[in-house]
Amino acid sequence: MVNSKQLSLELTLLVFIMSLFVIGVGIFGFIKIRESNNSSKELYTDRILPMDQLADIRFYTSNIIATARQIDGKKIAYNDALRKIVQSQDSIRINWKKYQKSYLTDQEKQLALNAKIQIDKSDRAIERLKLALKKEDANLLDSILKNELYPNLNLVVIEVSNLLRLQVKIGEAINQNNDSNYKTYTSEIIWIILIAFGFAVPFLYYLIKKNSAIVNNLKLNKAKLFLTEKNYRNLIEYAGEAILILNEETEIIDLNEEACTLFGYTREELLNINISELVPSDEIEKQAEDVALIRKDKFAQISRKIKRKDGSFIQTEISNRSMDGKGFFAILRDVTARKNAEEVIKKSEEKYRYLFDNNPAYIIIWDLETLEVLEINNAVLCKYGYSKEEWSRMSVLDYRPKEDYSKIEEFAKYMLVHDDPIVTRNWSHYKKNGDKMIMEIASHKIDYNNRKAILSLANDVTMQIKAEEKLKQSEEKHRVLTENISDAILLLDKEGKILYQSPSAERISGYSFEDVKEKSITEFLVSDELFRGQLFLKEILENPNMPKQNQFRINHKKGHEIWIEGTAINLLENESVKAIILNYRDVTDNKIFENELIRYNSELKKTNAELDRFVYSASHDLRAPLKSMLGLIYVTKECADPEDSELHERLAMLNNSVGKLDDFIEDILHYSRNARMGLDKDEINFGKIIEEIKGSHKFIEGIKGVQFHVEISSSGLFVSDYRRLGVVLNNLLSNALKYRDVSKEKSFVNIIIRSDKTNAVIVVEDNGVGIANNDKEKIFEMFYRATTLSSGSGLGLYIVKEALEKLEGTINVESEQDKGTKFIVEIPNQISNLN
Amino acid sequence: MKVKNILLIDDNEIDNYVNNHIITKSKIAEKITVKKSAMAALEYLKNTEGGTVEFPELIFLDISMPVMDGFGFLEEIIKFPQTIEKQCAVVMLSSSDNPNDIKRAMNFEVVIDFFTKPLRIEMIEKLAEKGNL
Repeated sequence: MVNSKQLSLELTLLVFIMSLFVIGVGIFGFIKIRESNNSSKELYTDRILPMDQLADIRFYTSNIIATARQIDGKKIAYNDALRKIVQSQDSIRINWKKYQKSYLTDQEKQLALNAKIQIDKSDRAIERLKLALKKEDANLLDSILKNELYPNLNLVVIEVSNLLRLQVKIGEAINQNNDSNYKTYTSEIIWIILIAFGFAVPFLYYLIKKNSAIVNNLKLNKAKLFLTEKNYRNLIEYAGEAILILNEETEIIDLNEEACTLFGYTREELLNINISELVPSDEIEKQAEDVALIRKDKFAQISRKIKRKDGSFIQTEISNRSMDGKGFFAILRDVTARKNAEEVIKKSEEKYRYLFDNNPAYIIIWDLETLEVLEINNAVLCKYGYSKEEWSRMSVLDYRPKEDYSKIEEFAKYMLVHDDPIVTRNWSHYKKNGDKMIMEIASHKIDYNNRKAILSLANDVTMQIKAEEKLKQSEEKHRVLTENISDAILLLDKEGKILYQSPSAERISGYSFEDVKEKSITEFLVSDELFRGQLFLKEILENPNMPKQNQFRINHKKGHEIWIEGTAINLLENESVKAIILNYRDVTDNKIFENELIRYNSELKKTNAELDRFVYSASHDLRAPLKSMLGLIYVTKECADPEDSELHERLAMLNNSVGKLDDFIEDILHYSRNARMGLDKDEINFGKIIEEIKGSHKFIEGIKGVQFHVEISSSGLFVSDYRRLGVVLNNLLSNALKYRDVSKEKSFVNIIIRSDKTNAVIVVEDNGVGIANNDKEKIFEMFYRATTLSSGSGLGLYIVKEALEKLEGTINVESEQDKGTKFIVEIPNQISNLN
Repeated sequence: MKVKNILLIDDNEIDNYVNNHIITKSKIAEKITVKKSAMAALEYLKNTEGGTVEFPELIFLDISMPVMDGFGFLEEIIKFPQTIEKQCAVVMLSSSDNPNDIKRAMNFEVVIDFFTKPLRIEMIEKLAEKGNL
């Protein structure tokens, strides 16, 4: 059916819009005509009327001039002239007044002002002329005419003419303005009309296209003819199913009774209804797609929800056929009931599918005959690491260890013929990456797509089993440990009563658990330890969770005392322990050893101190008589006859011999001190130390001939062991003096000392006898004497080396026989260790 | 300048002989008194109070002596008022050169020097040079 309602609505709309345009154009024209009317009115009142007035002024002015000339030529009687002049004067006044009232532009006002002045002047001249005329005084007349009237009136004429020309000019401008306005309006109107056409033409085209439906309507008859009228009617009416005939625009052009019943509309209503009203709004798009499909494929079986008149929905199945450009033929069947049933099944299936897919248990369905995996859920997909694609090609054996293959095959065979209820047991599975898992699997026999299958529900119990094993291991370990470690473990209650003792406790104390059960721990302490034990127990009770160490003496079952050492911790508040834990071991042997050690140590200290005293007094007692001997030799020498050279020689030998013995004792004393004494930290004044050493050597024979050169450069404090450093320097200096080369003219000893905050370098250089190459390595050895010149003990450089070891220093020697020797000593600055 | 009275304290007779000889030879003293023990020396010093004997101005003192050693003597002598009055000075004269002994002795204000035996004339001359005599 052609939708005439819509068509008329659309036409009305077009007419309305076009009318709006026409009215718009009319109003616009009217406004513009009014404007141009006003403009012409303005032209008339402001320009044409004033022009007339000005023309009159000029005319009457000329008239007065003409009259004056007539008077001048005596061609007019005085009274006639007077009348004419009065008339003209009045006219000029009236016209001027009127003109002044009219609209004047600024330029005009200026000109008018000039004109007014002239007009006023002329007026006064005319008045005098009028008086002269009345007096008929020819001479006066003549002078007035010549001197006042003509010049003034001529000027008026000129001024007025100027005004007139301006009027014409303004008028011309207005005219030109009007002309251009006219052109603008014309073009505007033409544009509006064009725009109106622009709207109207496509709209008209649309309407015409729409109205072709009316033409199409006629084609229904052709469609009916296509099926033959009789067949068509029968088919329509007796089809037993709802039938709709639609034109190409999917408008209903025919239908049968069943269709009316289906939709709940009357035949007439359906013929006038738009098909979109029969489709629920959410399916309109789908319907359009279906129509397109039918146009393309000629036929389609579609499922569609339709809307009835009462607003209810029914599910239909529609067989649609396109009638080759003549519309559509649709058979509709109500499938609501079927659809609902399907929906329920689908929903429940979805629910199961959901449960299957999202079940946290690992679910695998596999075929009992082929062992193929038929289905897996998401949990399995995530857990095992295989892709869905891989699963589809896998068998139930593929993720198991080889040794299980036969078991699975047996199980499958068994389950194929038996209908046993759920079987649960543990199986090993492998992930794709090779990780082994222990799965607790409940297997159900099910029918899956007509195949006998196993639904296996699995739980990963790997961790659980591992944990169980660990627990078992840890319990076992614990048991073994407590039974076998030598440390004893006691559990005490808050009063110190023994709740438990480990087997090793019996090994330590000799008491079995039966002996100590429920007895206070303090009972076993040696009596003089009791008080200390009670204090310790109190301390433990006051400090929960803090381990405390201690040692006690306890009585062994056999009666002797033993030492135990251990740790106690108060875990009374710990729910799983609720006891004081005491672990201890027998340290009797250690204790005895420790006591021995302490005793030995103190004995050793005593011995050491005694030794020190012994060395001191021995050296003193040994040296004292030597010193006496030296004194005696000295005194004897002083008193001896200087001529008696033999006596002097012998005394010198005696002196040497005693001095050597004394030096030797001193060396031993130094060595002994160096070996046993700790390291002192003294501030070192190198200058002072050298002076002291030099001083102690000053009585050596021939020393006065030796040149000393001392060079010291210190930066900052230098700290070392004063005494040891003294021993080192003393020995080096003493050697340098002792082994001077008497064959040389001059002997010298250079001492160069440089110290800074890290170390000191001491060089002692002489030009003495030097050291043979093969002796150099041995000079620091104990009792080694390199030269026959040596009168010493052979201890000197050994002591130097030993002392330097204590000082953490080094010594190097550079020497050439007969040339001299150079000792280079390097010692660290102990300033950082200075307290 | 000469010292009126020098006291020499040493238990070793040979040393006393040698030292007496050398001091005499150096001619710095009008009188040299020799005491063989610290106790005897103290006894002698106590007797100077009577005025019959001069309190020594210089004392040569050995360290290692039986009963009372040199340090014991030093502890006693500083209690004598004459020590300060007479500006008495002590020079240690020992066969020991043990630094501990030297340090300990030099800690006494009254001790002006520490000589290691044997005594030589040069030592006394040095003492004289320093203006201690």
